[in-house]
Amino acid sequence: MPSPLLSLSDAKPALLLLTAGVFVLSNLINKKLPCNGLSHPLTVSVLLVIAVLLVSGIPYQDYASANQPLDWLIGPAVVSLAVPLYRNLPIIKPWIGAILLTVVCCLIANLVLIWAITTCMDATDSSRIALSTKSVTTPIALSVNSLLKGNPALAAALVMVTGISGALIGPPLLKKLKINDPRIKGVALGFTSHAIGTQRAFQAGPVCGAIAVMTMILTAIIVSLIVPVIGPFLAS
Amino acid sequence: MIHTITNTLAGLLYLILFYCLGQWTQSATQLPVPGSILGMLYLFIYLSWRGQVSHRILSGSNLLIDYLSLILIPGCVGIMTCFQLMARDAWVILLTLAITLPFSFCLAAWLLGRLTGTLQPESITPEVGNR
Repeated sequence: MPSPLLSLSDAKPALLLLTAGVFVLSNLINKKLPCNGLSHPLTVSVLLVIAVLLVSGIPYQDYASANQPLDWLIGPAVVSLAVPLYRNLPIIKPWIGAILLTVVCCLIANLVLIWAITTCMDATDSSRIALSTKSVTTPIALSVNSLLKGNPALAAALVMVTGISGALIGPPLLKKLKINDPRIKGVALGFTSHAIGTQRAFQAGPVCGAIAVMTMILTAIIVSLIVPVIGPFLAS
Repeated sequence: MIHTITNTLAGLLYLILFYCLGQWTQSATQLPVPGSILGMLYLFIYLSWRGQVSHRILSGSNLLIDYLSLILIPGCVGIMTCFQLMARDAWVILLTLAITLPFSFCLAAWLLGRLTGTLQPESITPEVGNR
């Protein structure tokens, strides 16, 4: 697609600046909007960047190679989650066994359901693998999907959709079920909608938020232990 | 100011070091677990062994966690390369989400409530029972 802005794609710093600028802008937008999954800075930024790239005709590959320095930080960012995991341990210590058991059971039930649905409806392998990591935080989904030779971009998309819809439908659903305990709310949000759910959980109070963060990290660990092992089976 | 920046950079170096250790373990053993998760477990073991989080590691990890959304933007923009794939499997994806999301919400809340005894079972069992 010819474009007057095509020369921009030679200027890698400009594309890196695009990411940074859009991030600042979306944080400003986020402060103005009611807080739900849709107004999360990541959602807004991604939509804005896609819009800019589509309008200007800059290919994704150019954008991605200009922004590689950010990709390099994903791994260390996952490592850094060990710090909140360690620091919040005292809060959830009495619950840790129950939370672990809940996460493992729900995850297995989910994987069986996903396997059944995707088999019945004849989904592609990359969709199957991507669906199986849909409720885990994006950096883990990216690494599990590239480990399994899936489609990391599709995985990122599904993670985002899951996070947004979980944060939108989850709290009203729990209200309907008359569940008000902030700890249970935190676990449900952290398990189903990772970082976006966590942001939602912090609105319900610091305990709910901390537990959501812990659950998100535990889910990430368990998914990255279970899914790569059963991945070949999922994709068969 | 300079002091804070140096501390944060030193913390980042620690994190990158643990990440490299995790990646190295993964490629050496071919374990089916991402190297970054192994690195996180190593760091967790290190912190438990130290019994505290040094302010260097803390400021390094706070920096990465505060800007996690920024770090993830390029990977997520990759969505635009798989619109066709998503369109092909749109129904599967929508159906899976519509079923598994409410299901896992209710199951997680119900199971945790039962396990920890914070719920009156009868207040929720009937509704979950239908699924």
